Amino acid sequence: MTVRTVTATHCGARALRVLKTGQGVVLARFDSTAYLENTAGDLLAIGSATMPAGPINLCIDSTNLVLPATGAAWQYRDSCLAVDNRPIAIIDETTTWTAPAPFYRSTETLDAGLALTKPLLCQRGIMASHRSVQAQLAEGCIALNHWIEHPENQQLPVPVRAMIGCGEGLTPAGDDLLCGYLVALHALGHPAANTIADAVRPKLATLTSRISAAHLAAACNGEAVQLLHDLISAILCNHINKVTNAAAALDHYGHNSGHYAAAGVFQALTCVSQIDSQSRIRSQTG
Amino acid sequence: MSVIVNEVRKGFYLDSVALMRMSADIAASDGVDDAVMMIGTPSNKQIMADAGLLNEEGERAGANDLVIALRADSDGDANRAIAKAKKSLEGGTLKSAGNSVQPPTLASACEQLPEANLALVSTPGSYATREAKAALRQGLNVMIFSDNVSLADEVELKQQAERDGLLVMGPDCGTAIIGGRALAFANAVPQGNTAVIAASGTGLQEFSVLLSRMGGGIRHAIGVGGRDLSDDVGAISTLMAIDLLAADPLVEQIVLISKPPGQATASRVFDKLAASGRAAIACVFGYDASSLPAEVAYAGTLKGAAELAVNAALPGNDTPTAQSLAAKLAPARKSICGLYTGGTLCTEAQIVMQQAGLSVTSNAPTPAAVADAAHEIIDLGADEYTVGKPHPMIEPAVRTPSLQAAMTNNDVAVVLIDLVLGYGAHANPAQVVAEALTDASVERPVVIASVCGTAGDPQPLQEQIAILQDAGVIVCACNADAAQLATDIAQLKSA
Repeated sequence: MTVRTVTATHCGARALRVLKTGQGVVLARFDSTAYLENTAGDLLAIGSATMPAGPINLCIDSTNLVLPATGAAWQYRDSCLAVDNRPIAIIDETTTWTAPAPFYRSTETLDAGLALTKPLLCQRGIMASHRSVQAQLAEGCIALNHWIEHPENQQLPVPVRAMIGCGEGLTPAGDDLLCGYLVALHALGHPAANTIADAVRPKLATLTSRISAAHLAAACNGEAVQLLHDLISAILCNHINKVTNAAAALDHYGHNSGHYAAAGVFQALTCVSQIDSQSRIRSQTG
Repeated sequence: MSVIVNEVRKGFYLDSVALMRMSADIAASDGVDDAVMMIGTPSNKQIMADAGLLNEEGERAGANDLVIALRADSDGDANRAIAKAKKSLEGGTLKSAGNSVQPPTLASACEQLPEANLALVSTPGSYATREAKAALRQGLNVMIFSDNVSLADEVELKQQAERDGLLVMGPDCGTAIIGGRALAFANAVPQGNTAVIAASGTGLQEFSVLLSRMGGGIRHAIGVGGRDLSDDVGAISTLMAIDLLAADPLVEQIVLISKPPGQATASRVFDKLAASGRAAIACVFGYDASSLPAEVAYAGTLKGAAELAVNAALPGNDTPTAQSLAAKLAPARKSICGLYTGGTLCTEAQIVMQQAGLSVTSNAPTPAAVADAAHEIIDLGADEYTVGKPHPMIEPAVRTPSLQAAMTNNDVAVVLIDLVLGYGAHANPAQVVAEALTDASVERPVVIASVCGTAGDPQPLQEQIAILQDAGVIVCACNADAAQLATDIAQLKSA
């Protein structure tokens, strides 16, 4: 009998760290993804190669991947992931996915990129099925924008705290939005990124679900799915076709996750652009 | 006195699509005032409390628990809704638990069903080609439901299939009926002696529905994908389909539904159709009928094609006259706003209006469409409206904001809509339209609809029509009639 072994197309650095702890169980299984936890409670997401690369994602080169059942035990040894002692995939650890390094060209390219992006993202705005969620997210964004202007504040503002874990779905809309916001700030190398991340990180365990917290914890370090990095880089490179493609691809990520993450990116970049613009005016007039 | 009921599932995870769909279903239950299904994070619990949906049980939920929270008119209503939620969750859980006997690979599917001769590929576009090639290697005909397959891949697949004597339907083939059996989006129509080749989904559906209403039936309906008749693809699948259908002794006539073929391809397609030995009808929107061979009858609309196929006239619905409808409208109301879920129905409406001399603007324009015309026909299933959202045939609430905007626009005389029923479509699209019209003022545009469906569909036709009529919607017998009535009103208003 021939045993066919599939390989991983991408394995995020965080996912690999979880694998290397050796063993754990399947926390939850969905139609196209399953979450594996190790004995320390850290998570990775496993899915077929159609799942985008990301920090906690393990993408298997198969469209016929049979996802393991909830509660099944997994083991990782000699680069092979097995579930209930059945080999699932070989992981080439030399091809570990890591988030792109931060880069920020200039205020002018950011402004130009945002002008291109505005029609794509602005018209979508923040929408939620429940008006209270919508209001909460809008207040959270205002508080985040204010925080960027006043990064000396180390405390998590109440509206931002209320944003975490806010909304329907597996990863609540508020978490997705905050994820986009944080990753955009990190991509700019903005000092507020670490201030916000340091305040958010310790609250995750109590304010949102473990699955969403795993994604947000990565975002606190400036890491998210490649699609989000693609959008940010396209905006900062001021490349309309790349922006269009990246925004469309992100819109198809999750039910609404990509939409909210893109909205978070746009909020953060716009806020930074406006602050830069005001400081330029002040320096020119002062 | 309303009742608040919370049910908490500890450590329960469900993907967002299922969660939101179930949440909407439960909120729409009889006697339920409001309902949500959310994870019990502190923020969500506050939202539920503010909305008057949280009780002590829900308050105890943690961030990894699922909370079903609802407010209902009575204990009975609440209990029924909770039971419905539990049943839905059970379905979702079972679906996620891997108890299915679905084969995980194409090879194992072939082992399970060795007599199969067709594979339906529905994977993300970048994988569809690989799966389709694998199916062809197994000697299977292929229906590619997936979109986003490159033109080069489509040509390669179809050329390979042609060499192997196999048929590739699609890509982006949403509808087919093979041997009377519906695949993907299709309606419950009787079997008959008519075969259809269509480059479009809703065009095929509308034709088959109208045919069945006049007593006809479908033997096979083959979707070939929107690019097959282009010169790039060279109608490989269309030409093969004509051969296959002509070889079936139970097929008495072949109907082709399409946009105009590429110039280099048109004569090969129509000549083959003419030589098929079967009665042939071409419903090719906006095509110059004089260039067709004499053996091929031309129909300008789907209604016309169905009437030709059965040699009868489609009975009209008992609708008010254009004069009476126009007379009730304020003088400033002159334009038509079409909000379509079906792409081909959107095209057909434009054709009807243009043939009557109206200028039309559309996001899915026919060659005769112009920019900034008074009348606008929108395909809400087009990419720019469906990015990140479900297709309006699956979730008709996507149309609601546009519909409500049109209803409050003082320039609009007629709002023209379609409803597509059948397998795969939303369970009750008429109700979604009716709810969108609930708050419309007395002085409002005329709403004209057509319903593409049959009595045998999962959403019975007459029930859907009754819901629309109760909401004040004029329901025409078919899309062409609806577009014609809208056109007549617009012409009266501009006279």
